[in-house]
Amino acid sequence: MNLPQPSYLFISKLLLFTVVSFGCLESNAQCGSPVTANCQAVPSSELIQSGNGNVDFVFDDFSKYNGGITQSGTTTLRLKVLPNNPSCKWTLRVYIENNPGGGSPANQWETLNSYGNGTDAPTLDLLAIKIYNGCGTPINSGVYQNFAAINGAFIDIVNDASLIPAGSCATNVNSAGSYLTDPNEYTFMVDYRIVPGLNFTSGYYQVVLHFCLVEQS
Amino acid sequence: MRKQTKLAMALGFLAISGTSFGQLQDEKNVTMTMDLQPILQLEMNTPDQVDFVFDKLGDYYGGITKYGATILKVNSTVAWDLYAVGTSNDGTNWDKQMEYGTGTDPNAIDQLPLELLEIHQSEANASAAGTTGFRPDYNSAFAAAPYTPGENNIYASGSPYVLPGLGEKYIQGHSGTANFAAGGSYLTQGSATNSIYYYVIDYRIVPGLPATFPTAATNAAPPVALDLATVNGAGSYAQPGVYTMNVKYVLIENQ
Repeated sequence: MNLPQPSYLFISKLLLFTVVSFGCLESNAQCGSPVTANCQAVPSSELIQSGNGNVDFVFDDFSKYNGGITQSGTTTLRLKVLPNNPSCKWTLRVYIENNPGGGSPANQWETLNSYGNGTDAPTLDLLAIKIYNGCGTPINSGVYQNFAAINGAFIDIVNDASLIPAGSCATNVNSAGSYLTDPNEYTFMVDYRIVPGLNFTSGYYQVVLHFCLVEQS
Repeated sequence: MRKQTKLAMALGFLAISGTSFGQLQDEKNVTMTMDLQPILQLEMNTPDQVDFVFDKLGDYYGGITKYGATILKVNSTVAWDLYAVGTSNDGTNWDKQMEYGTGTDPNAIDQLPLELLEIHQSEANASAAGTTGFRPDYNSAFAAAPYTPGENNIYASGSPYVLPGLGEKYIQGHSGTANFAAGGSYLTQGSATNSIYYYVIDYRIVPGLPATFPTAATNAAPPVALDLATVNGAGSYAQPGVYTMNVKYVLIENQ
């Protein structure tokens, strides 16, 4: 018995849309997915990034290989989170991505160009970041932290199940608030450091850091 | 048809319930690039010219040794090999700059092999597996008479930038990708008396009397003697004069 053609088309569309929708969510799964709406969405609330969107580390001297390169204050994040109700709280997180779709091994930087011989691309744990602000609200504020050597590894900047109100100038302030009214709590400076040493193949490499502001449900 | 499409999209949304476009979620990105440029640095402390002046009988018999005449320091971010090569205009013999006397004696030879120069390196070659020459490096101490030709004789070539083969001497690393020294620096690894990134180089020439250069030999196993008597016949000796040659130290990425 032949089924009517429209039924096949309907099912196909349903499956296709579902798969695409899941794919979109999966791409930023490290950010987390809110299930409540206690905070207002973008664009009322927003994460503002200033500074160069490309941070380049050029190791062209032996002392740089040994001592590393630090880029201070390269990225500044400013938050404005408006509430729908008093339960609004949020998390801020950064995760590392090496374009695995391009064939990068899970633990290495993406190789854009390799110089000379060798196959040992640098590992993701080379990159260290330090996040701080006037009130020291980030977890491990002012301390360099290395990512784990795996694509998608993340570092929580602010994450607390409790609601820490703005103005308390304490770790994990995560209530509704704004960099305009509480600049020392809702502004985050980010420094970067890489100390490559001599174990990796010369070349040109890349990773992307994703900073995520997500309502904590 | 259009109704079914809309229904499919609506069901798709339901299938991923838990996400709403009215909830707070924002993301910003920073691209990090890292340019690891290869660095190969060979620092050399040496006189512009190392002179051997043989004007005494004892110098002819015992030779002249120049201790610590060259210091080599390596900085490298990549795996590397280091070799010394003696070269000249013809790549085989010293260049004759001036001849003393008439030079009409057929036994007076002005073709002096480059291999008569001996060098000694302070640290042994730590990566020379599978080499086929008499010695893999120049780490043997200068021997007194009776000499063992081939121990310290410099590798000679008219093509100094063509890598020596497995049968020749290297200071560190060797022919083939399996033999190399890892990246590092004399600044951070080992000390001046125990580091493959730091070498004290000594030079020696032993003319003998008559001046036949009895230590001269290739690095074949066993070495082939290149002293003037063996090559040119008994009674041969070096034509007095001024001779020069060039020693190059080549630091190169392992290959």
